[in-house]
Amino acid sequence: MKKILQIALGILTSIGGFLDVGAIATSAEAGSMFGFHLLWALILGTICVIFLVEMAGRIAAVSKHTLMDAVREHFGFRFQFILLCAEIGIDFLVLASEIGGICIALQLVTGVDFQWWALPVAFCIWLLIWKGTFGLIENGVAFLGLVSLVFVIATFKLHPSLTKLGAGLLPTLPQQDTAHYLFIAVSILGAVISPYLFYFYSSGGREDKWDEGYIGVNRGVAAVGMSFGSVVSLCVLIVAALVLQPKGIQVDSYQQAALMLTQPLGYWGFLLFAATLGIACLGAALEICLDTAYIVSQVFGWNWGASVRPKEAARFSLVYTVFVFLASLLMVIGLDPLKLTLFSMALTAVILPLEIFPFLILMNDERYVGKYRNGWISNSVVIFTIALAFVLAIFSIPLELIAGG
Amino acid sequence: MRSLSLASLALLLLLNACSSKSSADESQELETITSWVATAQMAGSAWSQGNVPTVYAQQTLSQAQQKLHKETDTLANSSTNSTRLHPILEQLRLLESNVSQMAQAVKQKNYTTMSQHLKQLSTQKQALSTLAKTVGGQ
Amino acid sequence: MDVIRDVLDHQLVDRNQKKMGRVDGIVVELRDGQPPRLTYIEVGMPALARRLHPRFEHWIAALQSKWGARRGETFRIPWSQVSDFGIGGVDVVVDLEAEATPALAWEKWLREQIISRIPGASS
Repeated sequence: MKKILQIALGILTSIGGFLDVGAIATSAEAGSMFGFHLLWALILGTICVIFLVEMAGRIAAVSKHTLMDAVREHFGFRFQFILLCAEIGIDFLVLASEIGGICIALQLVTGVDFQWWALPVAFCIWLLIWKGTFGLIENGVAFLGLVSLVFVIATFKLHPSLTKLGAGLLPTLPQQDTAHYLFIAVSILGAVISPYLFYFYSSGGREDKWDEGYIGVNRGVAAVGMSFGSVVSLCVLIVAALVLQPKGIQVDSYQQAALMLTQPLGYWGFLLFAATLGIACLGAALEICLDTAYIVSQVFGWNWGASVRPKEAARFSLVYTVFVFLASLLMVIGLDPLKLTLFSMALTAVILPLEIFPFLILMNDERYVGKYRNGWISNSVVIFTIALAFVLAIFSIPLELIAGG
Repeated sequence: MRSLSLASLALLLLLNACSSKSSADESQELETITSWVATAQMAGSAWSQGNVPTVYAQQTLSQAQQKLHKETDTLANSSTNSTRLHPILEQLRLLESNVSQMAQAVKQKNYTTMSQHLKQLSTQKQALSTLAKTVGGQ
Repeated sequence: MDVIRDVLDHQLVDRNQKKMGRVDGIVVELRDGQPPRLTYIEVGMPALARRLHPRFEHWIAALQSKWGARRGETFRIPWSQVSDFGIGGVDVVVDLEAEATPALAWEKWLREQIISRIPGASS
């Protein structure tokens, strides 16, 4: 019974964890510009992330190590230093994007410009981590995150054509805007396969003191939770494709995306879009802040934990405190939140090989995972997806920058 | 050291991507214009039906007006052959003023003028797309 | 035993399982005609910086001795005080009280000077 409850809770958490500013922005952009044509990227990313999240939980449960612990022990400090810098850099940009998402949600409802919200929002995020415990943060956000199911309801109300949906599952190249199409495909992959998720998930496994008995729970949570999360992202894409694309609206600001639920759901649609954006970004922002503090502390061997009182983990607390306020400054100076989001997601795809390949080596090392080693299926799925994302990113990011973002 | 310089390069590129927009071809400009006209149309009619808050409609309409203004300027300056684009530019100026009047109507909560402007907008939009086709066909 | 694999970079904890850093460096004594002997393990930023580039060690040490906790030197723990270490990823345990060692000097300084002055730090 306890295990069932845990699975249910874990699945709920994953829906919140999956849906963030990156997922919403890339799906909205993809649907409004290319209809159903980019569905394949979302599905491919989801399959890959299911395998990766399961691995991150497995290594925590079996080896009693978080992913970062294991990387430092196995690969030494020099390699890890590079990895740490890359991950902190990406976390910084993504956190700024998430804060931007919350600020935009507040702007949609109040009309007050998003730049003004950046510092108050950063303060609230900080306060929640400072005072809250791991369980409160995870479960609270998870329950609120159910509001995102509004996109599923909207999809049903719009009656999408199943044959067209099916056609979108096969990768195709469009007649025009090929460079932008590939850029958005890369951004989708980067948004779905977020590295912070794995470090966070394996740290969470340690915080909850997982052992080998949790292998099954972990597998269920990863597979079902990530799939549910992905369904919501799919619905964002479908709604954007059905509402915005026929009108010729191409999302290049959140203001435009905010209209997509007003057609099927009226005023409530508008409010629930803002609520979903705000809550999903809040959940992700909390996770990224904690993740950064986790990995820095784990690299240097400091005491860490979301439920530990700040006094008992002073350096850990200092990291997230400084980090969240610094990241919010990118919004204070008024960078375009949507462009920053899409760009950070594509950049994530570039550094994925650096993050994922050491991870795969560990998952095939008996000293860490014993008999729970990876099988060939999980290895090949992950290698294929990461390689594809990397190659596409290397080609499409320069093209996108030349075209002027 | 190398990772540091790479990181700063990435940051430079990022700032560039987020701040400036370099020259793009006409058809892309026209796509952006169509997108913002459609946004103004959708936001305006959503406001008329009470589906979005007034403050949001006002902001979105003035954002659309700014974008239209900017894209019109880019088109006017970028093209070597501006006589060819002249009818389009003319139409765009009309569209822009219509959108700014829509923003006014939202501000004054005047639903009757809004519905007039919306009707105008949809004819103007159609005229624009016809013009774009004839110019693009040359 | 394989020092690089089983000791270097592993989590360091004190006798009460309190985290006190990682094994950032290892000092080995080379003796004529005899096998080399492990004498110290090192903890601290300067030792880590040395592994990136030898020059960084002095920079970090100078920075750390001027600012904040003013603790620049690398903390060395004699190998004789290591009471347990793991094969296959277990923590390295030393027979010390973490709070009483320089390994936590910065943690303590931050706690007293900054963190505990922010409301709600101990609840």
